[in-house]
Amino acid sequence: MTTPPVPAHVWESVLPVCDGRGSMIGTGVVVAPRQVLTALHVVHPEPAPLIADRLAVTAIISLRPWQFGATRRLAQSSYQRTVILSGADDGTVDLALLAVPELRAPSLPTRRTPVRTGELVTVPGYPGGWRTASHGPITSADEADFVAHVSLGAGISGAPAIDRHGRLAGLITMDHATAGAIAIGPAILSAFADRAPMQLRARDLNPRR
Amino acid sequence: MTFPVAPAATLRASVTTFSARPASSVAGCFGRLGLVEPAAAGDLGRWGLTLGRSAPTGWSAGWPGCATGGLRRPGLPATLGVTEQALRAGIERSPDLGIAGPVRWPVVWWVNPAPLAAGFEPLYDGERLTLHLAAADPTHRPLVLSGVHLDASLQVELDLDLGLDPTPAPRYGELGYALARLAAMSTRWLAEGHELFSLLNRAWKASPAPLWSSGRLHVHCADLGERIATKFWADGAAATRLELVIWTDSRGGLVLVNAYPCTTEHSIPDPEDEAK
Repeated sequence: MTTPPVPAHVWESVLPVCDGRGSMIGTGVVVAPRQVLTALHVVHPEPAPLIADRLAVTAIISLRPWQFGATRRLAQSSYQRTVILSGADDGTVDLALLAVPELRAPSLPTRRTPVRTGELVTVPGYPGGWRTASHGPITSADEADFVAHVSLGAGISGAPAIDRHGRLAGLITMDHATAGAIAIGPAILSAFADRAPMQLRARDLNPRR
Repeated sequence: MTFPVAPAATLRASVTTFSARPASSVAGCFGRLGLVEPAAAGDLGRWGLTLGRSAPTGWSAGWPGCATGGLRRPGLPATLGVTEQALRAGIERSPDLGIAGPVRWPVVWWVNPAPLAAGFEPLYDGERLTLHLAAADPTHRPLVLSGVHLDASLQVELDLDLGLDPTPAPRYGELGYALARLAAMSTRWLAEGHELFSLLNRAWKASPAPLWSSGRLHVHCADLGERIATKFWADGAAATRLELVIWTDSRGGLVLVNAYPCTTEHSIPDPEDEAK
């Protein structure tokens, strides 16, 4: 048996995201201490309270495309793609950072380099509330998003696509019948990971915002 | 960077009635991802959008033709009723699965015949209908086809009470949806003259041990000795090997969650590796 391309510890960083009644509404991945990344459509406009891994979510941060700095063009492209493909419009890129102060789960590093077609990714998540994972090749990619030959059901939104180094290479947001899962790629993810925590800190300093 | 695009026939099969937007507004945006139409793309985080909504209520109307086309085999009906007797016989042949019986079920389960013709057997485990494929070594656990990883709520579609309606229209529930997704995704790479479920059978029998495992996730790889697929994501390279991705469910069942042509990209370096 060969060495697994995905380290076993990554499973600890993948969490179910639930509404206040405890119903599972999506998947999230820990990207920094007490911070969970998920798809924006999972938590918006879901009314409070939100629960991540049975712990309370105290803040939700999203960024407008212009807030992505040098990657704003890619952010705008990903946003438009989401609107046209899914018909859903949350007003910006389909990413949200959740503050979970009591969370102790380890975080995954975010990949900074582009993915390539043929690379294999692992996608763990909670489709239908069941803990499940799949694995498959990236079949197409551009600078903003990529498609992976993986199919998991409702509830997989917000799940990480993890590369063979155990890094967050993508975040699953949509599904295509014959192609598989559509994910936001590392360029947008890394820009979001750099900038969203600043919004979170600003919010903590001025809770009325 | 280049962006591989699937063959035209595959792309046409992806067209659905999902979006009212004209195709011309979509092509430019998605052509680079190989998705020329919005197709059946949908939101996976909520039950209410696209796939989640369309699946329980006549999903086949909006499903790309390749979904049923990929399942259909010459000489077989479009669907096959699996009767209580067939289920009972399957259970009797697999006493080690711990499925209780005998029980009477007032339902007939409609399953596409392609996987059954390829050697899969229907089994009802008390909660849902699944298909089982025995391993080459009878001491090994069978491979399971189930829809639980796609959407457990869809199983309600399986209940067809023949006592109320003597000629019910066959509908597809959780399992049917799972089979359709497997077949739909395989249409992008399956080589001419091959049938997906027969390949799954051969690959499962030829790979008794996983290539690797991580927790409950296992990947098996089998070389089938002939061209079985064209990897559209690798400039149309021919593939002779098939990878089976298997998730061990909470009861120890080996559920197939993905299958694709086995690649050699395990060793593809990423730019960070190359810089080191």
